[in-house]
Amino acid sequence: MSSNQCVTLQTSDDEQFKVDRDVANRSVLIRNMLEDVGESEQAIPLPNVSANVLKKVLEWCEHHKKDPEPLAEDLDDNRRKTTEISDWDAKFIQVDQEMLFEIILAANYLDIKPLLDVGCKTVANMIKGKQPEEIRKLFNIVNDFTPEEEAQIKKENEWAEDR
Amino acid sequence: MASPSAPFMSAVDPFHFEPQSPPTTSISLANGLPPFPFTSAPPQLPSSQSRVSPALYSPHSAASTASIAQSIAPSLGPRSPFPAHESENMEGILPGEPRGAGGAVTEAMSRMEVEDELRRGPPTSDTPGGDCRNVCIRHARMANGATNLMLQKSLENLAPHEQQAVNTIWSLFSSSPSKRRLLILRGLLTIACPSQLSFLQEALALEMRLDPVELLPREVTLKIFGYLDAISLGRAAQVSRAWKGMADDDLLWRTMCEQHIERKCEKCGWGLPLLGERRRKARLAMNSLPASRAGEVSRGRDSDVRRMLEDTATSAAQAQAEHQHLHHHDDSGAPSSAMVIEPGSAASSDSHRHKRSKTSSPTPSRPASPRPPSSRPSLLPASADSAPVVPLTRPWKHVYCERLAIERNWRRGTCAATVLSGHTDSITCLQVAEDLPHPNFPVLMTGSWDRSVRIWNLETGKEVGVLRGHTRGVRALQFDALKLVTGSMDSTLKIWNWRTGECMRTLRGHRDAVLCLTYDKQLLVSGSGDSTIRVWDFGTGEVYTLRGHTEWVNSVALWDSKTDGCEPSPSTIGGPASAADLGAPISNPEQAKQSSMGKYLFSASDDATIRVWDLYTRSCVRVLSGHVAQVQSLKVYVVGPGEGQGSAAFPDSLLQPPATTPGEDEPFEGADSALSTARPNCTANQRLPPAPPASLLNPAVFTGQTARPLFPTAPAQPDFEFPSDKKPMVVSASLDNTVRVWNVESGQCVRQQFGHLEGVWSVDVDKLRIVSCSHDRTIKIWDRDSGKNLHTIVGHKAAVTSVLLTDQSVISGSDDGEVRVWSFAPRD
Repeated sequence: MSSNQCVTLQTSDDEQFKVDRDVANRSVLIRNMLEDVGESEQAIPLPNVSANVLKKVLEWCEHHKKDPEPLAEDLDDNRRKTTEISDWDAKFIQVDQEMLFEIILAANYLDIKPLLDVGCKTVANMIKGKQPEEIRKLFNIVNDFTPEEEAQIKKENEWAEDR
Repeated sequence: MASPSAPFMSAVDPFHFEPQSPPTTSISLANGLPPFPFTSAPPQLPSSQSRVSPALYSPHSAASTASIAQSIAPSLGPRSPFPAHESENMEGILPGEPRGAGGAVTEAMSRMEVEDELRRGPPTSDTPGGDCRNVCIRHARMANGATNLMLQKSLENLAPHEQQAVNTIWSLFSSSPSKRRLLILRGLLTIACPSQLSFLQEALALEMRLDPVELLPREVTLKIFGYLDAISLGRAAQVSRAWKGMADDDLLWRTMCEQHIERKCEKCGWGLPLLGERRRKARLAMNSLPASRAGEVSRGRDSDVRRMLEDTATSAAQAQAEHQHLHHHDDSGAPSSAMVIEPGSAASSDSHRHKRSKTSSPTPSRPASPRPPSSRPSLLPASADSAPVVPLTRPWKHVYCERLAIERNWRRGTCAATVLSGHTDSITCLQVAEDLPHPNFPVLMTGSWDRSVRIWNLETGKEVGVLRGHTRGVRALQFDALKLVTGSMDSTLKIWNWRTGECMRTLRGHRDAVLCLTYDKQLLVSGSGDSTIRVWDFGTGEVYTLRGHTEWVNSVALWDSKTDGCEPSPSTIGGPASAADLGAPISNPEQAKQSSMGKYLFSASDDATIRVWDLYTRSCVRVLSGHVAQVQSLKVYVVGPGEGQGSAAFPDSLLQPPATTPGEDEPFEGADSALSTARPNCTANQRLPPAPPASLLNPAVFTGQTARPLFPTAPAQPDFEFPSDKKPMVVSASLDNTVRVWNVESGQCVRQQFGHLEGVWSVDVDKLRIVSCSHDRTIKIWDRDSGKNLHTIVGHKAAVTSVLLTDQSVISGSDDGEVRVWSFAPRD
């Protein structure tokens, strides 16, 4: 392989992926590893990512390999936190919940902030505008409040219903 | 040999994973990893895998990992099953498994796993249990679920031999490698009747749902919640205990407050008031401070709170960093929620304070503080910091909710009116100050044609003082913690010690009524019926006159482009203006002159124009014309770039700026965008010459009514530049029944607000709203940025002549001699 261009990644279930370096570089974790290690024929182990998730993540990296690096100021996105997602990303992230969370975990581990953003926004959009019971249903969550607690918490958050 | 296989087994095989005793090796490894801080067992990780922090990564360790892997599976392709694992698994599981509850739990797991694989199709590798990560995710979740109990009960209801049979099936399945599991499932699917299939279908739909809060690391969940609006967060808090713990996170709410308080949120269009200091004072009073100090201390605090709110915007990134840091290493207790009222004061508990200072108290160094340090109250005794004060903290969520309640009342127009009676003739002017060091209540002052100024306790509505001395009606007033300045129809200005009622100075010079005034630390400006404006220098005693208006000057406002400090409008609740006023003015003439660099004065006149004066050059730099009758009142506010220019109202096609000649003077940064939005409005009542001379194309010389060069000698006006990130805007009220909004740089009227049936006497503005009052006896509240009329308040029995806006009230004075306070605060 042309070691300048390609990087081999090894997943938790021991599959190997050969990807272009600029694709792999979307992951800050891998980029830092490559910088530390230098040129190497060795596969980079990614013990936190399984093959099917990595495949999905690499699909995203491939599509976004030409994206400009996010600016440092963009990290201060407290003010402009929109939950808009680009069309491609929206389609990309249309997966079942398990894969969605796996992608989020992988993006977090691999340090791919834009992908993490997409995942988090997607989950946020799922939660938005729903009643507590709807949220429980959506994520199969057990209501573990006692009735008294629930009444109290409902009262605390009454303002949220008072439009 | 045993080391790679042992942890592997515990994850792959649910039978070895008991909730009470999670695989400790993998946990300790996981906890050491910065990217994945876990609060409990690491469900989302393959506990079968040892992991290395990126920081620990070295080619060496990679090599050893690889060599181990290769020793097991020499080829680079998908790994083949490990016979060793297989046999170990079998040994561990098959013999009997006489466990009751544990068996049921793990068997539930295996069912999940089955369904999981059914859904996914054949796994890529053929290791036992297939995709081990998913086993872990489900395992952790199911271990706490009610499903276990249900399974357990069902199992116990069976006869012993049946229990044994079911158990064996589950065990066998669980211990099978993925290929075999798949085969078993395929067989089961084939055997199953439709009712069982539809059960599967239903169950699968449910089981595929996962709780992100349980699954994801805390910081990721917080990131998700950071995208939620306040309403959704409020609902999320009601979902479960774990969700509540996240959704009530103090820093989430702090960010929410930053987005909404004193500004309009770009996301949702809501803005919340920066509350006056009264409420906090009320709380302080309960802390039984020494009465003599209460005022001072609370002032120190209040200004700290105010500063903090301002600072939060600038230190948001830093807070974020702290936040992550905290959540990383402080799993034991959530960061103590804290709205720090007095960051500098001694806290009762050092550890508490330490924590707070990490979470939300402002850091002592504020590099980008919007206010220069010099403007901080200098009278504040240093010892106030060490006053024995109970630390007052409250969650940001409460802060948000309290203000949301007020904002809702603003939106609905729900207010309660209080009438203050005492004046015997028309009210002409008023101002309120809510955070004076003393007295300990919000002070309202009103001036009237009855020649007096009255001082009111706004909390009780009681009149607490009357100042008499002017020989004709009082037309204008402004006060701060120390002094009151009044202007009167008797052509004089008076400076009062309003606490004692003593008139300290009478300023003469105008040849007609003094109709308006404003002052800052250095300058006092008065506008008069003699058409002039006089500028009095507190420090040097110099007085000079600005001439230009041809009729009465009805309103004046100061704006300092250096500090972004608007003229302290009556509604300014202390804050920057009064704090600045407390310092001594500059008495050195040269320095005084320098201090007026960048200071501008705005004046409104009966000649239907508004003029902008550069107080350094002492010349008029802009005339805003467009009103078709007397301009009675004006206020200045500041917007960021691209804000508040009313662009939303106009289609893009209308927004083409006129072509400017290349190389022509382009004196105003951002003038193009301002002009582009402004122009459509002006074309409505303006004849544009078909081919105007180049000089007329300079936006600076366009006016609303006619295009005429204002400054033939100096068209470029190089001194008239504003910092690019904040632009002054003027809102004006006229007897032509309109309220207008002006872009000062371009000189263009960007919006007219119609609705009043008769002349508009007065106007006020804050970060969110414009309020205007009219001869038609109504008060109208407008959205500041859209110009939309939100509410019309009626109640006065005569023309409403003066009005001001506070965070939670409108205060108005009328020709009927009454002052009304329209409070939007929720009634308790």
